Amino acid sequence: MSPTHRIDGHDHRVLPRRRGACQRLEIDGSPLEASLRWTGDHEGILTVNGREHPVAAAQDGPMLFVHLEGRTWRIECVRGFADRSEGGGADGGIRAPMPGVAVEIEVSVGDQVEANQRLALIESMKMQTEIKAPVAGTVRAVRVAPGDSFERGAVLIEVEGNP
Amino acid sequence: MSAVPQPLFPKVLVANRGEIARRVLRCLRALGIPSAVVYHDADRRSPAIAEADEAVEVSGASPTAAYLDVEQIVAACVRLGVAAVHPGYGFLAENAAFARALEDAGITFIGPSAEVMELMGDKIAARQFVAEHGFPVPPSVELAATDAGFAQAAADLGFPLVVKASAGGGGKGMNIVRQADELGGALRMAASEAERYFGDGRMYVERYFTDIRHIEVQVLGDGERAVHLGERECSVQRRFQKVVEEAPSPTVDDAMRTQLGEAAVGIARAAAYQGAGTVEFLHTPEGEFFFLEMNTRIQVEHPVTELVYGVDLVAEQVRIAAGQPLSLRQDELRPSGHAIECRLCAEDAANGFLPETGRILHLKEAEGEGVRVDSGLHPGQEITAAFDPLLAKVVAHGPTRQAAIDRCLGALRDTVVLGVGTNADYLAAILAHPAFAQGATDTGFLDRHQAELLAAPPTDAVAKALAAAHLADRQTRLIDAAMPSLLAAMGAWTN
Repeated sequence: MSPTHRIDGHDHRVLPRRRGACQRLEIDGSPLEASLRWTGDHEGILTVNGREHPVAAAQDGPMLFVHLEGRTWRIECVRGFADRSEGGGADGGIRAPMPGVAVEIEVSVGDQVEANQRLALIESMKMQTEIKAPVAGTVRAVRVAPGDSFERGAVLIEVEGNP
Repeated sequence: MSAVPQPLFPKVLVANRGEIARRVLRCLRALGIPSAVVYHDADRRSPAIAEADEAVEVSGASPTAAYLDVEQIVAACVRLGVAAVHPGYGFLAENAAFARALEDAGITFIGPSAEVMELMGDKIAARQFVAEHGFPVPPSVELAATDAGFAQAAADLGFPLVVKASAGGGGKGMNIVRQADELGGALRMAASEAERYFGDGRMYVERYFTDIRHIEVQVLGDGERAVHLGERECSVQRRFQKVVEEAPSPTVDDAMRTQLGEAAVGIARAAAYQGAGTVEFLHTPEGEFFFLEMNTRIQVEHPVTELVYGVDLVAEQVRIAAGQPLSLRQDELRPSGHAIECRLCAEDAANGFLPETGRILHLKEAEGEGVRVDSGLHPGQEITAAFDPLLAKVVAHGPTRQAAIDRCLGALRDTVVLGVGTNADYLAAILAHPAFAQGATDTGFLDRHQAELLAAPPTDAVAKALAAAHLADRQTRLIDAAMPSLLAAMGAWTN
């Protein structure tokens, strides 16, 4: 299946309609002709509908970084369900948005929580961030204690949504 | 033929990392002073190491702890035969114990005396000192939070209030209180934060002014004379953290510049200040100004002053530390044009400004007329949560404010950092905002215009970026490479 491209949490659809030197793409339902000619390891010329734009691009796994017309884009290429690693997954695990240290944990296993209720406070790069419940439900597990450090993507707290 | 002049110091060590370490090393090279730098293993590939004549590794429980390790750094200085230490900003820059330990080892600390650092580092004592010398301070509660009558005194001051840590500064250990029943909780939270960051839980409470301007004055003193190098406007802030700074302030006229400058110089003189310092003021819409704090270090935003006054502030710090009298005269210091600085940070503006981590996969820094980039970045660098998220400072100077805005905007758009999310697009949106062009930049600016600053990009820009991402994707390229040209032609033919 063709991948989903995610920008800032919004999903977009890029469908190749014709391959070759100049590709015909359907992007979010609109057709577009595009080609990319590399001029360096990370730099090239993007031609879109006949107009040329200098572009820089780099890839880190599913994450594509693109610099185009003065803007930098981070586009996640999601292939199937295995790549859904960020944020609240279907398992109810609330994952760390960044590496850091747990400062306060405000819930215990069995607690009923409201959607958006503050569950924990974490700290990264001298900045504190609230971890909130994505849905109303029951706390099923608390995986960190104050003072514990964790990596980005680690499950901090599990909340089972109310039926 | 004259003999080669002796350098100001036989050797200077930079006790810092990132952009400020590189900036100080550049200055030492220009002054002909042999240099050394400390580094933690996490920074072993930093260009600072190659740019210094010598580099010495320091270790610690965390990378930050290594850069804060007084004993280890002083020992390294002794071993290398260092004559003076430049602390940059942050880390040990305002640490009186570090200055004293260096002094005991016969090494010069490039900065003011330990006593002045202690005075200005204790915000309660600094307020008192400034008030005693006849300069205005914001209305505040003088009682300790544990004293009887504190709650009444706070209520009398009127809400909103701001709770501050005496040992704080730089926006840390501050909490806004909007109503009486929030005061107790805010005090406890701020005190615990202050205890954690500074090891000193003493708090004070000041009247909080919303939508004011944060204006700071750069001073230089040699212990006897002091001069000011005008103001910097630093009102574009988020959670007390400066985001965009400029010089001069769009709101300060010549008369007010003189008034603020004289107050700042008066405070510096009263403290027999040695080195570069910054006196921060609050400027209310009613035209009053109040002393906020004095920072006894080189500031992150010092480049805007350097560009407008044509003075190398770090070189002045080194000269003063070497015992040279101040060579600058107030009547010769005149601002020229306008300069703007943007703080490029590893953070996700669209997602609550969460810190970003990653590896720098591709890097291209801006250049051009009037453009200065002070950067600590290098390709392959791991951006981790270990340090402050500041990556680089994109600064531009122009003959007018609008010219500086245009150049800075161009420089931001030319800055390519791939591999870690940055706030570059957010910074560009700030500079491109009509209210910024008008100079309507009080401390409420970012909140007031948040929706426009974080507006989704236009659909056609998204489509182009998606096309680029699709074509650059390794998987797409593999498929294309594997696809026989016949099949591609058939694709065309089927249409």
